[in-house]
Amino acid sequence: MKLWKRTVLLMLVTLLCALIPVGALSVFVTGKRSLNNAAETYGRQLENGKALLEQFWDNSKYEQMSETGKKAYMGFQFQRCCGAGMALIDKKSNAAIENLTDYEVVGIENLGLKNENDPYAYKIQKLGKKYLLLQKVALSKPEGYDVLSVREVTELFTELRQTAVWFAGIYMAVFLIAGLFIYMMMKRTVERMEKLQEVAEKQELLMGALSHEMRTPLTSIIGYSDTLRHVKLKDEQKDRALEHINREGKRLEALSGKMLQLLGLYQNHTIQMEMTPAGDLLNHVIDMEKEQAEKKKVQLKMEYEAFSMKMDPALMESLLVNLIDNALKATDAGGSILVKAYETSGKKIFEVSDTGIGIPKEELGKITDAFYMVDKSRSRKEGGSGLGLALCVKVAEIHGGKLKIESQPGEGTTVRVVF
Amino acid sequence: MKNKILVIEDDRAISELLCMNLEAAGYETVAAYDGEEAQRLLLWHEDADLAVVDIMLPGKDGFALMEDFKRRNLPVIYLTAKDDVASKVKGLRLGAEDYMVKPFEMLELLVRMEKVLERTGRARKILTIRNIMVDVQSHQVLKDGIPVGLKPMEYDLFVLLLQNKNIALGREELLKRVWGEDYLGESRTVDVHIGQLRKKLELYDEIKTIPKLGYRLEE
Repeated sequence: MKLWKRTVLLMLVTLLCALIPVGALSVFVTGKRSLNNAAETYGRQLENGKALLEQFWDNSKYEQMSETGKKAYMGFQFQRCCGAGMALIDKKSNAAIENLTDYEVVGIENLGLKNENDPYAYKIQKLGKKYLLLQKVALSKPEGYDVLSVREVTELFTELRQTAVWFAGIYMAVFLIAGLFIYMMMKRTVERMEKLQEVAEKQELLMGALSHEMRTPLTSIIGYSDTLRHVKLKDEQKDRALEHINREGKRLEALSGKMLQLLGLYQNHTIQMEMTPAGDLLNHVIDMEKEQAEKKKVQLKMEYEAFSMKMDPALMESLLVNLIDNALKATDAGGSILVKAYETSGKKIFEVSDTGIGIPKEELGKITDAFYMVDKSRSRKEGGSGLGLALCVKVAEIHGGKLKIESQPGEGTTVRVVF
Repeated sequence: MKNKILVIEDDRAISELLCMNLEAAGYETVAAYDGEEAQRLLLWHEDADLAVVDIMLPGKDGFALMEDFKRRNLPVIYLTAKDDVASKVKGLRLGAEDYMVKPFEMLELLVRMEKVLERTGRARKILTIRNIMVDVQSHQVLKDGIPVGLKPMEYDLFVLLLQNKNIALGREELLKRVWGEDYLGESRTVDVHIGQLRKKLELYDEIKTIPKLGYRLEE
């Protein structure tokens, strides 16, 4: 399972584990309290009934009555003192003699209250969908009888159930919202982590390529210097060796310079944007490259429209110089390079096109990778490091632009920087 | 006769470095800078004794060239920047005699080349310098056609110097390769033997002492 999934799941389970006992406990406590309240109210009624009955009961009168009279007297006294919701129970037969409840009394001996003489002790009985609160107290007069109170408390339970539903609803909502938050948070964190990982991987690749790229000139430098130390060479050979050391050293220097530039761009500081006219930029760049072009006998031309753009001039210069350098490397004597700056449909475009060897179609996607070279031996001969285009892409990105490369092998290459 | 070595390497600087050293050490070299050129060279130089080949070459790469080398029965030493085990295994499986990773020590390459040449029976059997000739097979040293009596260690030392003509060898290096890793003597031993060689073979100028480095047999 993925890390973020695991974390979200774990956090939700923890939340659930915390919410369920708290909810259950609060429902239980509320229920218990309201039941106790009901028991107290009905218990007081029961106690009052008992006290009244005992007060009004005349044992001597009762003893003299006939069986029917006794029964009538008992019924009369009970109804007068206790009233609805109560029943008089004969302890011997465990049957209700007088029943003012809405229910039939059966198996009263199994009630099992904790304290027979406490009118507040109660038992809950479930009858179909109804909940009944049962309380009982023993009478001292007449002896051998109990008063049973039967009250319906279904409402309490319905209420309780409703409370529970409310709680569950609220908890569910909290749970969902918390889950959503955690999920969003994790997703963002994970995304950022993946991005970092990607950058790290890219850097690692870059470092790998760099070490490989450094190894070749180093092999030459170490090899030649070693040869100079150990081997008896002719003077011209010595010169050649020194020449090679010098050239490879310069290559390393160029490489490290480009590398530093690229690393500097990765850290994104010291970039100073200012409005610069495209014409100034082009003139400057052409000045810088003129000499090299003449040396290679390549014609270097420019065309520009008058517009200005917010840019870091030093970076943009290095971008164009890199592109022109590439064009020069690819173009043989007699060819030409055209540098253009123009605006179309709101887009500002810088373009460098040459009449050089071109780039095969299948290589187009790869040439902006650091250290990628289409023809290694050719670009090495021309002093390429394989970093130029990677640098260009980065500079264009900083300015919010893109590099578009079109090429026809044998006919030439056009690179457009579109802002 | 000199051994002929094909140097197939696309980096001009390294190619030249190899040729320079190999020629100084008494080999004849022919260089190619890409796969196709290497194939052409093979046709022109059928008498080559060994090829030192880079793997990452323009055109046909070093692995693909192996077939051509095999057809000519030419031993190959790969010399490449590819330092992963998979490439090494592939190179050796394909039939290379040896595999070396850049950056490399020239001295090590020379030793490995010598060993490959010896193994494949292509090593020079007769080594010469000025008026002295050494027959490696019969262990004979002739000066102007007259046998010279060298002690075993003196003989080994002399052959080693001859095989690395024009290349300076340190005292420690000489000690290790002539007397062996386990030898507990000191580098003075080398100086004494060198002295003997100079006297017996009259090579006072040719066996040069290089300060801080060691000795070099110059031609």
